[in-house]
Amino acid sequence: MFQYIIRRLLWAVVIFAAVTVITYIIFFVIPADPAALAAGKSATPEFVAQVRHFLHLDRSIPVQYFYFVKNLIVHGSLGTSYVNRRSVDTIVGEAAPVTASLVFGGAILWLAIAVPIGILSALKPRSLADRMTMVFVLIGISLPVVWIGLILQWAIGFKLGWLPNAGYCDVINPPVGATCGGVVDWARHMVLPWIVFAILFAAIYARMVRSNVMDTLGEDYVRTARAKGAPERIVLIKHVLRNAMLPVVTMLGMDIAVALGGAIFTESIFGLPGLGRTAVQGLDNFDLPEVMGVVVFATLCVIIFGLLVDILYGFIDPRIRFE
Amino acid sequence: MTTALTGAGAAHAGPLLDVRELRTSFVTDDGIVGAVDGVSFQLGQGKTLGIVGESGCGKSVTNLSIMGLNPKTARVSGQALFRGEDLLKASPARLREIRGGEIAMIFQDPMTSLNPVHKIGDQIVEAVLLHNDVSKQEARSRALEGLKEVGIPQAERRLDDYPHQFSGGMRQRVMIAMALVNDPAVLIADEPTTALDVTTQAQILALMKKLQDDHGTAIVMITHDLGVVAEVADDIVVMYAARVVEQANVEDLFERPQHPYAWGLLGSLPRLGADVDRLVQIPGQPPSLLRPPNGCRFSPRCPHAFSRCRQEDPRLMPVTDAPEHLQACFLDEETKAREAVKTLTAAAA
Amino acid sequence: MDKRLWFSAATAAVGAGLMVATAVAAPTKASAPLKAGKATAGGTIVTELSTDVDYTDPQLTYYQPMWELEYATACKLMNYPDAEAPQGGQIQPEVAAGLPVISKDGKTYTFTIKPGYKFNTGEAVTALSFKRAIDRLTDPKLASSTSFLVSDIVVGAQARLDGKASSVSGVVASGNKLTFKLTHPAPDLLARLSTPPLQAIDSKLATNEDPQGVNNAASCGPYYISARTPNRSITIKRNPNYKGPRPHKIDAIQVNVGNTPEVIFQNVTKGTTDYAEDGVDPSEYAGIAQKYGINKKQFFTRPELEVDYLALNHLPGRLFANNPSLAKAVNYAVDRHAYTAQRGFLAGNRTNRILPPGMAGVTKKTEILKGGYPIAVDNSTLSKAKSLATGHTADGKGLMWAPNRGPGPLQAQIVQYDLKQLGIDLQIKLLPRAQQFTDARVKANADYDINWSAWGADYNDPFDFINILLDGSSIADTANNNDAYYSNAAFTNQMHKAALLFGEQRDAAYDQLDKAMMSQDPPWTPILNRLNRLFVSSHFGCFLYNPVFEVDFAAACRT
Repeated sequence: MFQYIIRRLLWAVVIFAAVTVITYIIFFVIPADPAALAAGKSATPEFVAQVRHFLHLDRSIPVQYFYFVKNLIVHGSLGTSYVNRRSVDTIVGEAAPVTASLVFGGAILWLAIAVPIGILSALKPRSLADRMTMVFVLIGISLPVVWIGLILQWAIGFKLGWLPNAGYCDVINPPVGATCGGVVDWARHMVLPWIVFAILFAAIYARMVRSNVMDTLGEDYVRTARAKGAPERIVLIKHVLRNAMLPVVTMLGMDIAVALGGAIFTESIFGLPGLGRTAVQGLDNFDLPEVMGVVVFATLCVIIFGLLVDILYGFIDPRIRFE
Repeated sequence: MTTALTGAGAAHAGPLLDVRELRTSFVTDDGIVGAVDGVSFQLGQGKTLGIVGESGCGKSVTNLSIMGLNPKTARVSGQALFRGEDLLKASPARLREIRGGEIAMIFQDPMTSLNPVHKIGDQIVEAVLLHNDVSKQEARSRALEGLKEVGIPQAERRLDDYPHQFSGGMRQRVMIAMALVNDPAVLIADEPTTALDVTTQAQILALMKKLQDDHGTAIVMITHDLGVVAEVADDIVVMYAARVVEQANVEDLFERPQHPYAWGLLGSLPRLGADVDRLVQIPGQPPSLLRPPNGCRFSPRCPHAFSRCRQEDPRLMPVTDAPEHLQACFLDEETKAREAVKTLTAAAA
Repeated sequence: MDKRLWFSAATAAVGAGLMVATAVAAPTKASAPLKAGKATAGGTIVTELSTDVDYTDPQLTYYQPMWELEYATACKLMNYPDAEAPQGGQIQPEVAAGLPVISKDGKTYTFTIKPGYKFNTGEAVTALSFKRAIDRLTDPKLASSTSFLVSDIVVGAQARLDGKASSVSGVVASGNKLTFKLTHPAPDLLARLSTPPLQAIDSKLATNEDPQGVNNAASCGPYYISARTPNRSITIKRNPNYKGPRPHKIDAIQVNVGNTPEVIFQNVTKGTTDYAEDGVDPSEYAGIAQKYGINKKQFFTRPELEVDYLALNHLPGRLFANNPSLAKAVNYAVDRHAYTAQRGFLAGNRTNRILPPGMAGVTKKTEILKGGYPIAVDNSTLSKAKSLATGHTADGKGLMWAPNRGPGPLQAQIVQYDLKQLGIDLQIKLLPRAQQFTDARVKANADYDINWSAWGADYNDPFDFINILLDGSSIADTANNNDAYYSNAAFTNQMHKAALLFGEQRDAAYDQLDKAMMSQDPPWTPILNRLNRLFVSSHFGCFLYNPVFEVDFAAACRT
């Protein structure tokens, strides 16, 4: 197990290097000049040169990358934004909890929807309940997130006013001048984003749970359990679900990890100041440090979650544990 | 060794398990499949009944029907009297009591019949706790005893192992231990050795025999392998295409087989020392149970079939001087006797 | 199979239902606007920005919505009165006791500081407060993009920027006298002094050299920034120590950042937000105008000090190098109406001149050059265009750069079509705006014949339009705002001369120059002056738009 973790960590370093180098290359292939942008529209050539030096853009790209890595490893810092000189650590650190709120809350919601209806459908295939589930799945997968987000935001947030139409409220330490704060406000503002974010995943997972449970129900050991005289409830919980949920755990880990990189559409529609919005801003402004900050964070999430999922899988599936 | 109250020791008049005209059909998209079409047999206390036939002949479905383990699409009729109680009419709660308690079942593939994510000790304990109001420790010690009895070395340690840490033969022993831990009156074994290699097969069969001697358990042994039933069975039921075609005690079947299908089965047995160029095969395929043929179901493949066979359904009739020996074939007795001898001599040569 | 049919029918029904729902979804019925009640003193005006400001630090911010807010918070030597055009566009002394005393050679300006102005912290505003602002503005550690406001005219400013001095030698504060020494005469100094970077700053801010800037510096205007959370909000409160003549009715201005323009539109409609500061989705304006009328209740339009134009590249080897005939032809041929229409409802007024209304005496919004190029295109204008173009189209091929978002692509296609009528095959290259902007300013990269362009004034003086954008003598290798790379020696001379004039003379000279350039040797095809479209809630009373700094928060009140 220990060796396995070490191996995975080394791979993580390789992946991290690959992702960051590629991001750097892509960024600098685009022929826009961040120094000229940062210098502003009325800048003189001398001033643009000054700004270029100020932002270290007069160094060669490999040298810039080297300083980026050094900054990251030695100082644990992601640099400063070209546009407003704020520390990218702060920018990412402010945005990450917002995205995390959305993703984790959304994950809980989609699991709460998908698992029960997936199981129910699997237990009663071709019944009315099952068919309705499949219709729901089809709708959930087909509706573009942007469309459903805009419609729900407009209909429920604005027209009906049942829920706030946009915005984010901090649970603790709301910023000065904020009109909302605390858990209740936070939750109320997150309900619509959670729904929008969760719909697609709920549909996909419902289908996956249904098919996993159906497959597992046909397994020999389930028959053995029944032959032992176990009541259906025990068969379902102890024997079926324990096995059927294994693939769900892996998928869940990866889906969350990827989503933590920024649920861009949902965040934009509802004005949530998360990583997705940060990434889009960074790209619009050709702000490399901000983009790199989000990329680094997203990569780390994927790597860490991947590792966690593998370790967790090892715990719940004894066949893997003893490799 | 504890003897459960409802175990093999309890006395009962008549056969332990009396199956009468069992019919099971499945409703499918394409129509109704008659998987079991009028099967009857009896199992005496402490005896072993072998049910033989090809894949798809209905031997497994018969036993699943008795236990109520068929999928919901199944329609079952007839009677399955266990100590006089009709299992087919029992409530789900009563069936659950019986399953694993008074009647236990083991299956073909030990690899997949045990839950891979639970320790085998826990799975055996589960079997105990489902039928006995005892403490966990008591259940565990019974599980341990069971493992020892089936010959698992270092049983104490192995209780906490997972199925994938056992070999195929060991796993089947575990299954047997799990089935017998509650001292059932009947053990239904559905192809228990098919997935094992020959040596292990022999070991498992020997084990089952020994356990039967020790516990007095009646066994229903379902298999396609005549060699296996020759070893262990007292009586044999031969099934073909959802029906019983011949039924006899083991000596009678092997000495005087009456049905062409049985001749085919016996003839196709590979024997040591037999000087044959090719194994005798029964040509053709078993019929579709969705639309079974008219008349005798074996007639399309039977080398002795004549016109009556294709028009009339042969019923199970006793053999003239052996009323316990039943067979369903229109051939006259002389022909049958002749063919039987031919089969046996060819095989013995 | 009936099962599959059932399934398909069910999903089809759902799909149909959704389509019906979308079709039936009526546009929002806004709640009836509240009767304009009595304007009450106090209260908070809430405004929303979809994109955060770059900084709230006076010496760093170079973003129009922030300059709009600073109009309420800053106190400056010169300022614009809280009034609509034309008075709102006429510069006046604020903290300066009066107009400065100017030396004969035009290179020394001496201001007297009016007493009584105080920062919200209580500190008094002195001559030093302004010197500090300029010293800070040119601090190389800050690398401020607005340093250009002083770097080219104030003695010692460039030295400070180069790190060679610890303060700007050309600005001297002594008692209540503030003296500027200029490198050459520059009458637009007054206009520059009205910009937010040159506002008075307190002693605490003066020592701050953090390149991130300060979030809530003290200020001496009617309001001050009391708090800022980047990406979230800015809170502006009344300056208790402001005793000056400017209005200050409301208690606070709350700026919320981050919602989409669509959500901001919803909020202003509901009345939970009072002003959509960086606009709503442009497609909403037609509906808004229908509901509220134009310039009546909640929807207002005002001209911007801005021009959208096609820069005609005069570099050697390009279509328009030494080709005034073709430049004139294009000015006849381009359909300004169609081009403007792409910006949406009431998005701009067509123009055929360089200077926008509100600048240099160009006051009426429809004052286009009389006898200048046609605002509308018809057969006669087209034939005029063709006759001018004949023989001057070189190889008949051209390249146009345009931004790849917004109306840019469509506008480029209109130009392409119009030029086709002249026999020119115009290829279009669409680029992200940021990339287009920076590349066009690098001479070696500017390989276009026509560049889609737009320019807004930094301060209200024609120098900021004509000299900055069309002075051939200052063309460099990089950072060229003169994206037409226009270099006409005679006109360059004239614009240098005009830059030295004052008042009405100055205005008249630039007006003439504008007309002359356009009629003799057009550098551009000017298309439109953008119209600011402003949507406010029913609570936003005392609406006042200053032509230079836009919405006047200081004058606003709550109803």
